[in-house]
Amino acid sequence: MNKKELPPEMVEILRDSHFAYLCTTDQSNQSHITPMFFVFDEETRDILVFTHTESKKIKNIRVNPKVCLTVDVRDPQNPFENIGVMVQGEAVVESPVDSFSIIEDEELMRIYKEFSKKYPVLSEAQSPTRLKYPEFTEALVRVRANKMVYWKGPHFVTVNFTEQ
Amino acid sequence: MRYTAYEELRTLKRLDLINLSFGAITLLFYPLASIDLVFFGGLLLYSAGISLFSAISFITIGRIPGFPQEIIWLLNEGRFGYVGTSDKEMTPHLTPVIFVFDAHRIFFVISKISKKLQNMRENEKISFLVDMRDPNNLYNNRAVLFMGKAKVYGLLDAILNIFRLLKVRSIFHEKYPEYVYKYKTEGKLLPLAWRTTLFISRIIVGVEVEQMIYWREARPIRLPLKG
Repeated sequence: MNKKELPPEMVEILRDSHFAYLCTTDQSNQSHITPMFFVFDEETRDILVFTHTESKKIKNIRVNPKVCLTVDVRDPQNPFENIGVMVQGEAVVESPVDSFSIIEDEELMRIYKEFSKKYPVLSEAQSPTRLKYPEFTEALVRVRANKMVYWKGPHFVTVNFTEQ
Repeated sequence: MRYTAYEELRTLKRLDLINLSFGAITLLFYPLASIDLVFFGGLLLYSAGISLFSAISFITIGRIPGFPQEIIWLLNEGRFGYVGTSDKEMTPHLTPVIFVFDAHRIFFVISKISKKLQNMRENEKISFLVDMRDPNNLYNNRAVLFMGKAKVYGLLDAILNIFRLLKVRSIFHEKYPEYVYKYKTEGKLLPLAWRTTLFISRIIVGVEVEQMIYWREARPIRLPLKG
């Protein structure tokens, strides 16, 4: 794990924001974007998302693991107060799990609990769309950052993890 | 859900142009047809008919926005879009932008030194996402994703499309009055590359849509069911 310090503003956005936008590319180098729920692992600095195994982004990641994930906080009044973080890195797709299977993996269980804590509204009992998808298979996607760029208006801070 | 209406409309417009060219080609036969009055009359009727109906069809189709109502609503109400580009090394890049929709095409303005523009010069394929979040219900978001090509308006393109781009400018002013005011009052303090001066600091990009995907409601993720 790279021990480079992240600016606190960067950590705050990644920890507290609810939506991330994941950009992947297919074999023809056509990009594809989807809004995602996500959790930021402050220890490893990985961004964690779950996605259905049949999704376009999983297919793209299998072709090209390079991804870009952006989290931003919008200010509709003042462009100089718009803040955000763009993460460029590689995605690792972990073993898929069926929606009704029993999870034995402690690490996966811990990540699911992190999601429950961050998004209490997404609990299965409250989900309005849950019944429309009675069974599905999903996979944990771990985005390993090579570079993070933080901005506030026109000011940028870049943290490059690949540099020594 | 996938819409192909936009592509179909473009095909129909292309067919109308082909028909119009057939109408024009018939002009070449007029000297030949003038030896027979009936033949000449028939040819005249044919060329007038095909030209008139194709022109009417071309103009009528041009007035159809080509997007479903809900997508038009999202494009008009959505204040931020996300531009996805990818360089020749297939490294994706994604940033938010403000944008406008002129009933036919999406436009946004970016810095001339931005990585986005550099990527678009290497690979014109882009994606553009607009979404609407419901703060009271995280599942109830809606989004539309456009995939297609970036059309970068250089100085010559801008001259050729001057009226369209003036309209785009006016829509920007109507849609983002607070941003326009801020850039006007504080823009001079910005580094040159981030000022809003067109062609010196900024450049207009349009999205030539080839495919669009619209969705409502986030798909659920499973939450702990420990056995």
